[in-house]
Amino acid sequence: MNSVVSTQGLTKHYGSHAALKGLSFEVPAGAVVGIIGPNGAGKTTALKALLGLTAFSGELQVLGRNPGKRRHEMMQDVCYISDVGILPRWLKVADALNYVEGVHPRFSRQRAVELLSTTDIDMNSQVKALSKGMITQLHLALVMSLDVRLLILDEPTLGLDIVYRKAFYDRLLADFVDDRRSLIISTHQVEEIEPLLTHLVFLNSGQLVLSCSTDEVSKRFATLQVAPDAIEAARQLEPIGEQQLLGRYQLIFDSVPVEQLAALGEVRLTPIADLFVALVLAERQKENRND
Amino acid sequence: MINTKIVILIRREFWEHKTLMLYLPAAACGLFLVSVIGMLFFSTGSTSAIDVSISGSVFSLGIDKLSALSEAERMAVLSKVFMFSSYPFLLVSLVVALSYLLASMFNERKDGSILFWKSMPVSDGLTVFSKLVTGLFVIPMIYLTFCLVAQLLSLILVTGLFLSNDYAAWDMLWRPINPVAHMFLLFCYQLLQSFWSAPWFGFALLISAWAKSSPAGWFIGIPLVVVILERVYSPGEVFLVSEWLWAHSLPLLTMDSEGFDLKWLMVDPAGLLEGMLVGMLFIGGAVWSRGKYNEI
Repeated sequence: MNSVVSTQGLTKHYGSHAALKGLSFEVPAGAVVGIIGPNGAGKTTALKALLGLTAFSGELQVLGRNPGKRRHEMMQDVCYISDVGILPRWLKVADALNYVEGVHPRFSRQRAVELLSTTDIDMNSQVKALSKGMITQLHLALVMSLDVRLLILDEPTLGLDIVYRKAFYDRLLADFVDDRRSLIISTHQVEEIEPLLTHLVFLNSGQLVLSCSTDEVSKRFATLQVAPDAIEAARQLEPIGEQQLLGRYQLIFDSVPVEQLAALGEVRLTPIADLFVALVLAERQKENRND
Repeated sequence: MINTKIVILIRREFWEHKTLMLYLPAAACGLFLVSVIGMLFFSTGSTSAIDVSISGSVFSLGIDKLSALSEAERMAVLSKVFMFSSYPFLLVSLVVALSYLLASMFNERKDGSILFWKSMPVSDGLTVFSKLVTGLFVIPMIYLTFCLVAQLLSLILVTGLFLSNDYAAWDMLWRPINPVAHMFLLFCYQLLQSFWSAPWFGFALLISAWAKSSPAGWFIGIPLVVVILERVYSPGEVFLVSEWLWAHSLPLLTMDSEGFDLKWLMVDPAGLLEGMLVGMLFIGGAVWSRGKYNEI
């Protein structure tokens, strides 16, 4: 497989705390991967390892390179927007363009100017004069003007209102995603990125819960909505998750034939957020049983 | 590409530290000119607000008195005035360069912008190098340029005073001072000062890239502890580290009754080399720290 990212036993400790516990997953070229997990799951640590911003053990290749070595060369093909990494407040918009043009061989100034012309951002403004949404627009315009093969976004829309969040993902979908370029997004707002995703990586407490394509998810997992009289029969099929909603039950199944489920009630695709919650709760129950 | 990168990285430093690199020296230049205008206002043909002492003799800068001096005396007096007026700029530039270096990599970690800078294909080594060049050469040269501008404008103002009193300004002022020679001397001095202070500049960079809080505190505290430990535990009365640190702490250019003196450089080239080597070690530490520490 032509992998953009390949990890094998990726591990990271902060003192005695294990932030990543032997993660192994692959990101194929052209994929849009959602890294999903609760706070403290290890999402940011995993992304930092991919970017060579933190030391790690295990094997990790990003575009065929070890990010821990000569990361500045790797950054010609990789770019990222971090949840905490902000554009410096003193920087003028025009100087931001000058800077990126001066240091990045694959930056298109024309493209950046075009993208910025669709916003209310003034080239002579300083970052500190822009709203949070405009700063994100500026950062995105800079990143979109780079001809990189992998873009990593760590909670890129944190703190933005819904209008900016929608515009952000629309632009991303329209301008970045293609067969050649890959995107890795970590976010809490799974619903907003769900239509973009081609692959999922679920993390919980530093461990990999699931890594597969969204096609595989639709084939493997299904949600069954049943009336109370059919609930016991449905439970016999060993759902991985269950919740009660307005007098009806919703159960999530892993690798149970759809025909078998359809006999009991209405079968739907499983939303990513529901699947994630079900898998994490199932993991926790398993851990509790083992304890 | 590296040439382009280093230029843009230095420009980046200028954008960030415009107050230190433009507004402050410009204000100093303005203050200098205001002082000169004030002195000219209170000067008459025979009196001056400035007296210059050379070898115990006091010379007034009043035009009549200056014209009565021999060419050699006039050259000594005016050269001393020229060098003395440069001194505040040179000292301020040293302090500014150190405070810039201390802040340079601490601030980017404090405001989180380090992650933006690191999202670009620029190595930690090149980043640290750009900051070193800015602190060691760019800032001193900016201050020197403003100093020279202030001095040249002052000379033009004084020339006006000379001409209004029917004195030959070229013979009495411009030729004895020889501004071009002074500029060259000050330029050389600044370069030598930068190399001489390399251990402190390198140490400031290391602290800036490493400290999680109060870089100025660490910058002063660590050498202070070293000096105290040496004073307490060193056998006899030999305090090599303390003396070495102190020697590299002082400006090379010293003023005395005979003018200025670059004495350390003349007598201690080994000290210069040692300082540069120690500075390089610290700079290596700064590069390593910048790669390792991203947050505060």
